[in-house]
Parts: sequence; structure tokens; C-alpha cells
Amino acid sequence: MKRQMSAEIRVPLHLIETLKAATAFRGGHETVAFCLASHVRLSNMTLLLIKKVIPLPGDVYVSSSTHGAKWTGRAMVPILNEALAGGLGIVLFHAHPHTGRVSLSEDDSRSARKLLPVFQNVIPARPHASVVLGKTHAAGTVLLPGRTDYVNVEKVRLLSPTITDLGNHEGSSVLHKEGDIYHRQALLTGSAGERNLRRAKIAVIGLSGGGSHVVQQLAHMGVGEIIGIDDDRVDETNRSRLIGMTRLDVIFRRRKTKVMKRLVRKINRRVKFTPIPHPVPYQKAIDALKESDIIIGCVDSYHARADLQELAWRYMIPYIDIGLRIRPLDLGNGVTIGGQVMTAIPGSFCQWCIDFLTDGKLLSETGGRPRSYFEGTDKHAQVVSMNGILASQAVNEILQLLTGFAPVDGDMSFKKFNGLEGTLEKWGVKKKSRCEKCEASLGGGDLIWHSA
Amino acid sequence: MTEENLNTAIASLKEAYGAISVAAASGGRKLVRIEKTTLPNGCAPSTTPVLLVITPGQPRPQLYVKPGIKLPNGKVPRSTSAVAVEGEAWMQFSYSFPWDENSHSLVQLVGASLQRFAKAE
Repeated sequence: MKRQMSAEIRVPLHLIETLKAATAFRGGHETVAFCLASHVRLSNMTLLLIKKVIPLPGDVYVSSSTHGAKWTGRAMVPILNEALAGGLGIVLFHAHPHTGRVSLSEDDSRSARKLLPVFQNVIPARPHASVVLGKTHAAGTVLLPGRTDYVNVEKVRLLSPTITDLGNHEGSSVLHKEGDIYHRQALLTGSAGERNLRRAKIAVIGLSGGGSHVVQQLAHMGVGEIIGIDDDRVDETNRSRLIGMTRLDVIFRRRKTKVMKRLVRKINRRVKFTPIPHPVPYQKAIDALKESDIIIGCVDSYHARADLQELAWRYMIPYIDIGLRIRPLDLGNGVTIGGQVMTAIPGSFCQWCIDFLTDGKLLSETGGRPRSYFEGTDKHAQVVSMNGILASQAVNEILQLLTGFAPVDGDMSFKKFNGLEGTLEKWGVKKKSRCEKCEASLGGGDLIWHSA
Repeated sequence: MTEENLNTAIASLKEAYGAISVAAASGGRKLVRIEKTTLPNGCAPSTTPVLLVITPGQPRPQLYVKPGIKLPNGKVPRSTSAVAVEGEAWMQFSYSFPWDENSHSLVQLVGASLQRFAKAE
């Protein structure tokens, strides 16, 4: 089995403040939070996905002159029971509330090496970790399933409206290595923003009218890697809107992924393009999606959106959806032109929360029959200029997630497009207090299989 | 399906098909994975893993095979769809025959479902 070199911990939006509050200094000592986590194995990393934060009540701490925080062993029994019942790992957080690098103290490390094997003994199939959070950095150690040695926590990712990565090394400027390409862009994004762009891995699903615009702009913007997912080949009808395609592509019936790879290469050879000529939810597409930092869905059907929503939540990946709808009005009296750019951050609303996805809409795509009868959606009108507006806004949303160029007002983002008025209007949307789909999929991670 | 009935059913599946894995999923669902079943003569590939998803309150388990199966006539079976089940790609397919927990076994369900791939379409 391939060695898992490091680990990343993801904290969904709705748990960030709870975690910060639970690890704040109280009563003159450090306080700790126990978190329950699933996990996902990636090609060179393990992700730990926080599903629940359990603060320790104040009365379980015992005074100690040698430990930052000491608590009774009995306080951990219900937490261990809950982790065992849910088949989840345990991540122990505490805070060193200052800016700059942080590290586990010798005492923290000794405690981790005592506690984590105990957790592993109870729940052997999940990783367990001990993490110290600073204001700008984090550090920690993880005991992976079936292992006796420890790996480092590479970063703690807070899934806020601007993604915040708390790592444990100082970032160096990337701008001086790249000549003048991004200097004017950096006037908005800043050095740290540019570094985030250069490291980012963006999955674009659907490489036609919307997706090809997105790929082109991401290449110009200089993201680290674009994962292009589409199993289709170009045809004559794509020429009206697929950015970068040529007449020869039609003659040779080239794959859309191949056309996009060429487009990216021509713009900037430093931007990696990984073609995945398979549809979601085929395994190769799922495996590629898991590795991404942000998903952009440029797909036609509700079924495809439901799949992307489920996968984004399962692996805690922000998901931006775009869609354009041009429809004739009844009695042939003109058209409506609508659409949306929707940025869903794990822990905020999902597409089911706001009834953008419903069972009724899915059934309408199959004529009321099971999913196995789904044969694709009807072809709607598409216009390159309007695809471009939605795609540009989607790329702005990526810019916001990675660089935080705009102030955040707390509302999550659903922008409604009116093609007749030429407007994108922000609508307030909220997470349902109880959404079955969020509860079922958020942080689901990898399943734990047992031999029968 | 009660826990006791499920354990008995899994034991029968193991006897019939060999290696079986189980996992618990959200909503109290149980997933049973049969590592290798044999498809009808002429299908390609000749074997496939099978996934059974047992959902509380549902009268019969949902059954999935791995995508990419071709029928004996070389065609892709109709009314099939790739789906992600708990983050893994499977193929959902249509089949129609009576099955109920009290009169039939999971071994019969799997066997009868796979016979759907014997028919040329």
C-alpha cells in the first residue's frame, strides 16, 4: 500500500466557531475540544473530516502545574462510546492563541502518544489526531489506521467563505518567479492570494459552453491545476459556444478534454491540466474529484447536480454550480432567460436545503421512473455570451474562496441571473435546520468495510 | 430486515459467493458487498462485484453491479445508470420479479437479478 505522507483536517463552516469557542482559554488554563471525524485516503494524503465538536465541560479539568490542560479520564468515556458507535476517529484540539508558527509542546506530544494509541485500540479503522491551533498556523500529529508511526498535520482547512488554511510553514512569494504575468492581478489578490491560486486544484465538470469559459479563465488566472471532467466529444453544434475549439476538432471528433488541454497549454504551460474523459459518477471521475480543492459544476441535469452535491459534501469540498435556462414563454410570447451561480460551502446550505434539488425535479427528468431510465436532459437553448457571464462570475467566486478579495457579509452566495435585464442579483439563502441530505452526506468520507 | 435475519442472510451469501464485506452507512443503512459473482454466459466481463443496500423500512434491498458490463450480444444493457453509492461508482439497473423477505433469500435475489443480463436487448 502507498505510504500516506501527511494529513489535512477539514472543518466545515457550521463548526468553525464552535471549535474556536471550545478551545478558547478559560479559567486560567488551556481547554480542549474532542472532535469526531471520518477520513478519506487520497493519492498522497489522508483527509480527516470533522463531523462533530464536543467541548469538555469545565468541571472535568483538574489542576496541574505540569500540563496546560489536564482532565479526568472518565470524561472521555462518553466520547469514546460515541466515536465507537459512529465508527469515527477522534481529533483532540487545543489552542495556542497567538499569530505565527505553533507546535505541539513536549507535553502535548507525550500526551498524544499516550492517548492516540488508546483511541486506535477502540476504533482501529479510523485515524486519530492531536492538533494545536494558533491564530494563523496549526500543527499536529496523526496516527493512521494500521500504523504505529505518526504523520504530521500538513494543514487545518477552515471551510469559511474564504478558505483559510492553517499550516505550519511560512509561505514564500511566488510572484518573483513568474515575471510580470500576474503583477496586475496581484494588485487585487495580494501575494498570499497568488500563492493560494498557484496551489489550488480546481475540478471543472462539463466542458462545453460554461465549462470551457471557466477553464480558459482559470488558465489565465494561473491556478495550479485544472481537472477537466467530461466524457463527450465535440460536434458541429459546440462550435457556437465551446471556447478554444476549431473546425478540425469537429472533423476529428476530438474529446472535449483534449481541446481544453490544448487551450490551457497555449495560455500557460505552468498550469497543469488533468483530463478525465469519464462522466461523473464513474470511479475515475470520483477519484479525481476527491483530490480537488473546489468543484465547479457546469452540467445540464438535476441528476448530475445531485451527484456532485453528494460528492462535494462527502469529501467537504466547496461546490460552485452554474446553469443557464432560456425558455420560451407560453403562447410563443417571448422568452425568459434565467440562470444561477451558486457557491455552496460544506456546512452551509446545500442544493437540497434551498429546494434547488428536489425528488420531484429528479423524477421529472426520468418521467417518474427509476434513475436507471435516465437518458439525459432535453437540449436547451445556449448562447456563448450568456454562458460567459455565468462562467466569469463562477471564477470570481473561486477568486473569493481562494484570495478573499471582497469583504464577506455573512450571507452565503446564490446569484440569480436575469438575461433579459443583464443582471446578477444576490439572493439570501440559508441552510435548513434539518436537511436529511446534508446529514447523510456531509463528511461521510470513506466507508469502513469489515469482512463478514 | 432484522439484525438477526440479516446476519443469517449474510452467512448464506458467504456460502454461495465467498468473500463478503459489510459496512454501516448513514440513515441506518447496511451495505453488503459480494466481491465476485458470475454473470450469465457471454457477458463481458464474466464476473462482477455486487452491492446490496439494505435500508430500514424498505421492502427489498437495492442491488448494484459494477459499470461497464456488456451483454452476450455485445451491447450495453438498456435502462442502466451509473450512480455513486457512498462515494463509490456502481451501476443501477432495472429488473422485475417478485421478492419478499419472508419467502425469498438474498441469494435468490442476487441470482435472479443477474439473470437480467442474459437477455439480448
